[in-house]
Amino acid sequence: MKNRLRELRAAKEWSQSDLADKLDVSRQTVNAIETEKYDPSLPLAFKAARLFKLSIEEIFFDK
Amino acid sequence: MLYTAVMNSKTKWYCWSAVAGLATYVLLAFEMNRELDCWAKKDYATMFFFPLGIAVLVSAAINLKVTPPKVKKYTKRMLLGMVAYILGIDLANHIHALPSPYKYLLVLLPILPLIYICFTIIGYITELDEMLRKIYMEAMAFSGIATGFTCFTYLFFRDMGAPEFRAEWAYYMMWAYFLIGKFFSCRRYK
Repeated sequence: MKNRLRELRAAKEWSQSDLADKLDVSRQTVNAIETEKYDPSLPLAFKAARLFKLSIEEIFFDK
Repeated sequence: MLYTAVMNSKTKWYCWSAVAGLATYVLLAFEMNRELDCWAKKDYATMFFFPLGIAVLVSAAINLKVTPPKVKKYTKRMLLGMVAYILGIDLANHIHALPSPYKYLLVLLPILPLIYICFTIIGYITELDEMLRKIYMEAMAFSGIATGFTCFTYLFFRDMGAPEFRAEWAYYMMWAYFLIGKFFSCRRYK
């Protein structure tokens, strides 16, 4: 699954650690999601969507 | 100068805990050898692996001061459970010779702390970050399945004349498989 997490994070000028703190996960998890090695759970996807004030589909999408 | 730059108080604490752990390990290994004559009996597992557990306990107890609060809670519970387990085994070993029909219930002494330790581990994994939780779950699944199949396969080899292995090797093998599983799982996600 592809995502725009890195782009959205860069727009806010947050580091991976900042985003990890806001999502209550580890920095490694944020990195794994950004590099598309790990697909987040639904609750985490909702959390990210709420944080960026977007819908889940606007952040995470199929190829 | 370099020493002061590299050694902040946290690093110093980690170093001390590592030294204490290593010292405990060496002392216990010698003590086990002296008490049980492990080297002469070629009982290397008891001599090298048993002190490892105690050394990790000592090191973790010293590290408590610099452990993050989320992990500290579970480390304390693990230490408590392990101490109770060791005391339980020791007590069972000392009083099992009593002529009582209930002496077999003594086996519960180390089992109760083990149940407590299991709940502590489950609680720790449940509170982990979701990716780490997945890594741990995959490693544990791999470890359980691989240990089970290795033990089962060994039965055929034993029937064909392979040397006898003591049951405790299954425990060490389980941890070895866990580490292998964790390594591959980490590589996949990181």
